[in-house]
Amino acid sequence: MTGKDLLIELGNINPQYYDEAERGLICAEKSRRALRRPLLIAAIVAITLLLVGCAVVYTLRLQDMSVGKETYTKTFDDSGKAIEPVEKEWDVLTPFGHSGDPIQLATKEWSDFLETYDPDGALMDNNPDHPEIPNQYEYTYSCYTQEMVEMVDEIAQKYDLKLLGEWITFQGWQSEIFLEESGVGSLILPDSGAEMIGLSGLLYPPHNLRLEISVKLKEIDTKLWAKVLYARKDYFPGNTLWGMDLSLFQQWNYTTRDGTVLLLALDHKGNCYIIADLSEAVMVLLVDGNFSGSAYPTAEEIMTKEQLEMVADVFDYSIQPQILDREAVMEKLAESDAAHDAETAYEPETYTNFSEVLISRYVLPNNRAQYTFFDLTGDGVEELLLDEDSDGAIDEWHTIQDGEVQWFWGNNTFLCEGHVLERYHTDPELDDRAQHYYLKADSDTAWMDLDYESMGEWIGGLSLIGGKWSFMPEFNSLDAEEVTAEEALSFMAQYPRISLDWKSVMNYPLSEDQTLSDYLNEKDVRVSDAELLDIYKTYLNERENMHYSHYRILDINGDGVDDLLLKRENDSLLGNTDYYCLALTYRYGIVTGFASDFYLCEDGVLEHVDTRHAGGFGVEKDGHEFLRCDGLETEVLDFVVYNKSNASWYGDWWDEVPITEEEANAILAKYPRIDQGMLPISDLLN
Amino acid sequence: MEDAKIIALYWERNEQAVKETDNAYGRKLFMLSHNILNNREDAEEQVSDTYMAAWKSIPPKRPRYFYAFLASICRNLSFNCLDWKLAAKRKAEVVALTQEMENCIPDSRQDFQMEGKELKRVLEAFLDTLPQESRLIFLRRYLYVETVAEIASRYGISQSKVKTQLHRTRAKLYTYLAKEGISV
Repeated sequence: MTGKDLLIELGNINPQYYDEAERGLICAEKSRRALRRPLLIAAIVAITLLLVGCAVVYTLRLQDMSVGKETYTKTFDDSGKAIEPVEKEWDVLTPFGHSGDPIQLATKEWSDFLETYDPDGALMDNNPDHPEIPNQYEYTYSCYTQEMVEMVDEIAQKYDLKLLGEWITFQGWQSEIFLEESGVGSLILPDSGAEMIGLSGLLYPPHNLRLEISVKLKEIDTKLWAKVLYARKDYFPGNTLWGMDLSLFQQWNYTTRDGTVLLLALDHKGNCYIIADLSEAVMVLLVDGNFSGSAYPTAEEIMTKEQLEMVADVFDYSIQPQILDREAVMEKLAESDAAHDAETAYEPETYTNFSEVLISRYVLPNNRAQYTFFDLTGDGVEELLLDEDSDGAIDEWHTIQDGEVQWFWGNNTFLCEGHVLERYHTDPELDDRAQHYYLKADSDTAWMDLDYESMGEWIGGLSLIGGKWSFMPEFNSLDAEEVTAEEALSFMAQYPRISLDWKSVMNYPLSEDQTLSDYLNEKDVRVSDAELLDIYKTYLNERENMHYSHYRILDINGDGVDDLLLKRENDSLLGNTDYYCLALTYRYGIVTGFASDFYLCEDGVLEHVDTRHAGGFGVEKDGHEFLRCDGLETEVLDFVVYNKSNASWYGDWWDEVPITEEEANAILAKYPRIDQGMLPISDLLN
Repeated sequence: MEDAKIIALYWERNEQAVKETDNAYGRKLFMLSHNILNNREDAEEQVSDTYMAAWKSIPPKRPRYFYAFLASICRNLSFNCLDWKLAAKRKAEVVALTQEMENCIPDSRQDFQMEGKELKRVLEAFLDTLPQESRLIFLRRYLYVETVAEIASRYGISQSKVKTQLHRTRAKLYTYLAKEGISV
């Protein structure tokens, strides 16, 4: 094990530690360091492509952009099966320059400098800002010393290239500002019939662009995600190098409807490149042409050459980003940010009594949740305690201060006799582990956070790991000593848990003659088929960016209410699917989901399908979970997972329950899929 | 938008869920990833992939600690993405962290191997032994990959105090792992 392993594994600890580190205070928290650098958080664009372009009368090839070779290791075959590591070679390409032009030479020289400069990072100081380095150099060219600044200047001067300015970020909600201020107007040809759905990105003044967009073509039934790069030939673009195994690509020239000659390239994973070598600039589009949602698509699941040509035809290669008034634009962006923040700001709901809290919290029946009242703070007024999972521990509690309900975590704590608290912890993934830490609450206010530091005096801690008990006599001690089960139980017996009078949350009295359950049941009105359809239609119409393409009305959970099954529209990011992404039903006065990503099978069974990456980098697994829904409850009938990396079947995600292929096939055969019966969503909405 | 509502949007398979997640936590996640990668574009991509992973996990999951759930994914993706060979040139912080963690391992020459789940258990058990102050400083440093200066600023304490706490905690982790290494 190495420090790297330890550092990585730390990331897999229980989420409660993340939460604690995020929320916990050592003392009065000071205002956090404001982000100086603008952030670009585009929508979900998971494209991991690379490359460059050109297209003119001569035949540009990807090879023209190569400035050298590097080796890489291939550890999975094209189907996702792990193989003996194979050393392979790829080309290092300069995306914005080729054939020995100044951009290519400058990029290579700057890259070579960075390869050897400060190899140990000794000159880095982790300072978030270097005031002595102009932002243009620090951000756009990633300089952190004056020597680097001078090298950028030297290279730019040597190849007669101008420097780019500090970037300006345009968020998704600022796309109109970008298109207007940059003079780009649109990236899509007006007569193409295509629709640009989203845009965000960076402008490197005065003219260079790096954008992320999503596009819908009428010819391709899939929302496409793409990056658009635009680099002027008279500006030094910095250190942009891409590694590409050119043996995996097919490349060809294509002339668009408006006469632009392009270089198109496509590999076996659907990585698509559209490259336009224009007179003043290079424009590169990186299109996600993998429609599978898998890292290992089959040949049928990636974009075809013809489709890539269709995509190439919709873009406008004559754009010329103009010099803009930086101050004016920044002002507009700030206004836009403020408006966006105001629109999206979260204003927590406030409640004046516990009934309001429970009504808002339990919109559906929950038979596991429990409540009780107890004066935790010792002020003579009882607080509302909640136990979400019926284990008898406090998961959260509510008190009323100044007429308003305040909420606190309970940290799965038991109250014990003698004003003692027992923090109990188990891990659902590790059933042989439990912790019982005991503390004596030393003041009334000690209960406020139910936290070690404020809870009071440490009494002792017991841990059960792998059937062995150990005792920790001091809170901050590493000297846990192994004890027998009898000793552990004897210690615990000194602090018997107070038996709180937990009651089902569903029986909470909202008023003298109405419980929460009554309240929900009164809302659980059955409506006519026509009314139900209207409810579903209204629900869908109220969704922002409604993205479903097909539907079916069918009662799949046997509660007598027809459910709305929805298939989402195809999307190159999420993959194209032929199953339902969601099952909605109308119960208790609301439309609620109860199943997702499934095929309909015989006898009312649902086959929930899922692809996960677990068990190592590059490992991909396909899960098939067979379910039966009874109202809003779900029963798992069978579960099998196919691990592509070793071409083996398992009964769990963790490869701990291996099964034979015959066993897996037998399970799969038990639940044959039926006709999914999907109808166009327009039939419902219209 | 509050977490429960965002999670409800995921359950609806409504893409607005991703936007609301981004509104609520995008910047925090970006900072986390950027702390590891020190590369804006890579960090953005990991944040995007985090949303993708959340989209695929919810449903069926209903994470109780939503930000923690996202941060865990984002951190792991970022470390997966990190080119460790180039890290020295791109981010001294990660190299420093690795070395600091290296010092916590009792004897790297020994075959001190633990399965992921077991190591997870040990680390959690160790964290539970720490006073909250030490635990928070440790987590901000090694979970959220923040610098000593950032941690000091966050909690309003001196950098020397942060360094001292980290030094002591690492020493404790060394001892703890040594004991666990013997017992497992």
